[in-house]
Amino acid sequence: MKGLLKVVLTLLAVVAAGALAWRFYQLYESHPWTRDGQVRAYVVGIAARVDGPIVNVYVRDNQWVDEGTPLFEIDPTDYEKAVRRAEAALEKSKTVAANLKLEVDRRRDLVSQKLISLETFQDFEARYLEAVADIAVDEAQLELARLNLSYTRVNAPVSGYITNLEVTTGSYVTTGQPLMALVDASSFWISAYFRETDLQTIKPGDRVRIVMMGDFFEPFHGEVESISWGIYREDGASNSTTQLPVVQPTVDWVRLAQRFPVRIKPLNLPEDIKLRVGQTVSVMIDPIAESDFESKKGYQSAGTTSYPKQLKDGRGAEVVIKKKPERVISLAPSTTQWMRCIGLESKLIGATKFCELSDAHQDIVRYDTYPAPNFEVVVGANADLIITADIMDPQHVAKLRAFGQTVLVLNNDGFEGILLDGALLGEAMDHAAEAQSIIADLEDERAAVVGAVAGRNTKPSVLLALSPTLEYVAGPRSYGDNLIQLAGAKNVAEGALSMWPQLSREAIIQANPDCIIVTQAMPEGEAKALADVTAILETDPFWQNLQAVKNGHIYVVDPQLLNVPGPQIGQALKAVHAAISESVQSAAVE
Amino acid sequence: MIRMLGTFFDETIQGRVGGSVMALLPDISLNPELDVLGFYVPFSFFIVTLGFMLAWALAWAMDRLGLTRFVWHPPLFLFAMMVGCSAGLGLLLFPR
Repeated sequence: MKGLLKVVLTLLAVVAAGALAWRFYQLYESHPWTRDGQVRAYVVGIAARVDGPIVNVYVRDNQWVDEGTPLFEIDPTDYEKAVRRAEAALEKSKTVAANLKLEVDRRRDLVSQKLISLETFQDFEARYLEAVADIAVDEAQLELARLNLSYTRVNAPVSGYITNLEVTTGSYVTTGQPLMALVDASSFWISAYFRETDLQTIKPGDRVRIVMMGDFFEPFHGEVESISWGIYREDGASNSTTQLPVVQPTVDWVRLAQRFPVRIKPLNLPEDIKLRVGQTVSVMIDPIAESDFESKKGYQSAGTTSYPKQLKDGRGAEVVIKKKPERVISLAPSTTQWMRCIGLESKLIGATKFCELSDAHQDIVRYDTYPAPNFEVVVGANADLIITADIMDPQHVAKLRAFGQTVLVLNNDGFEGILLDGALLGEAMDHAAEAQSIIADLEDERAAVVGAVAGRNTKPSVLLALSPTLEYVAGPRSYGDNLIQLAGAKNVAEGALSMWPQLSREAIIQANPDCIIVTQAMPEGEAKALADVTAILETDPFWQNLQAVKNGHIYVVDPQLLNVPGPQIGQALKAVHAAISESVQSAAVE
Repeated sequence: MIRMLGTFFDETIQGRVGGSVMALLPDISLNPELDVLGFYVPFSFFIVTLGFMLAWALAWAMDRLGLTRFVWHPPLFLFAMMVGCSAGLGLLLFPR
């Protein structure tokens, strides 16, 4: 009897040990871990964009710098001189052009009285146009010289730590030569290299326990962001001399698991832990339950609307919006229009004198923007965000940023560009859903117009002018040009040199547009405005001969629609489309 | 040594094993690896060593109390105790 008890007790101990060991094995297997982890971050290589000796280094090695902080300065003397030379060249070509314009004007009457030949006159006109083009060339040269001058001061493109600074005052640097590394402090992540056998249990969103080598008693947590989709494998790589694949001889029963990088985002990093690129960390995955996973995903999508938020603005600059903007200054009418459209007019604390605002917000501060904004006043308003459009001089934007302001520039580049602007502003203001619904409406309106003109077999030529004297017209790449093309017509000024060119009378008569659209304010209604414009055109000795004037294909559009490249573009497109299709229909009747 | 054995951290992650018992004890989970005078030892090496020592101590105590007479096959029993102690410690001290 006692013998049986002995056997049973011993076997019970064995079974208990087996059960515990099995549970431990399960726990261990479900928590993959690796010592092969590394702290990583984006490292920005700082190089000069122009040559020259360094006259000032403003930073020390391993120092923290904020975005925009000056790092070093290259001797600007040569570049200042280049700017002065370019300014003088521009002055010279302007004088030449002014003189040629006088000559052309003088001969215009002579040629109409047939006192000089048309050939001579056209020669002069051509020379004048050439001189005008030279001005554009010299303007570009001046712009380039100024840019080069601005490149002599090199600023930190991101906030982070300067590392491996190996230049000092007096070093001669050449374009593109790497001078120091800047570790982007907002980008730290952890790459943990897990065996492929562990990958099945790892999924994005899993909690991760991280310990740094040398700091074992301060573990911190992270979250799996993603798992790599590929690693380089040596077997099968081509040998460069023979083009034959390299295959390592391996033993069949010794098999090494490949390791794949798993990207981990550190969460709630303790204050006293300093991440440095390349540090070794051990990482253990704590898989979250399937039920937690859904709530986790909700958290993640909420995470994308969290601040600070890094956005690329319309001019390609990286803008970091530190917190949800509550005080916003709009320095362009189009951005004001966007803010109103997505229901954020109440966040505006300032706008320009040309911005249209609803009656409830008429009392907010109005700023002058031309020729330059009053920087002291704008900076003093202490806004969270300044939004402006492409009309603003890049130097003024740079100046505002140098004052520590967050400036978001929208670029208003045609219909598509305006849609992108709305999306960008929505993202910046955490109102993406509202912006997307407006964008969807605008896309519908555009699709309606494009669909309506798709079947049209004629392509009318259109002139879009800013005044009844047809002085300034919509040229290539302008907002008006974009609308004309979307409405299925041909812009007669599509070959002009600037966005809002001043066409010569000869050029307009030569082009003889089928339809003329004039922007004209309508204080007394559209009919009156149209009558005024028609009267001016019909009495003009030149314009009365135009086909469009003879046939009465003259239309007026509210300048508010065409001058502000904002979300009203849908209405603007409708107006232009209505004018063009009316002219096409009446031409068909004739 | 106490610092080496375990750390107090992060109340947000609840004990997975014997939650009610764990709630009474301070959080004594280990790290996935331990630095023993410059030797970086994985967690399982540590708990196996501890488990064997614990099993040995228990066996010695049972011997002293004369309880070994209820054991049918002493080597098998000792082995089961070693495995059981190691696995039990592992469950108790698992990094979390």
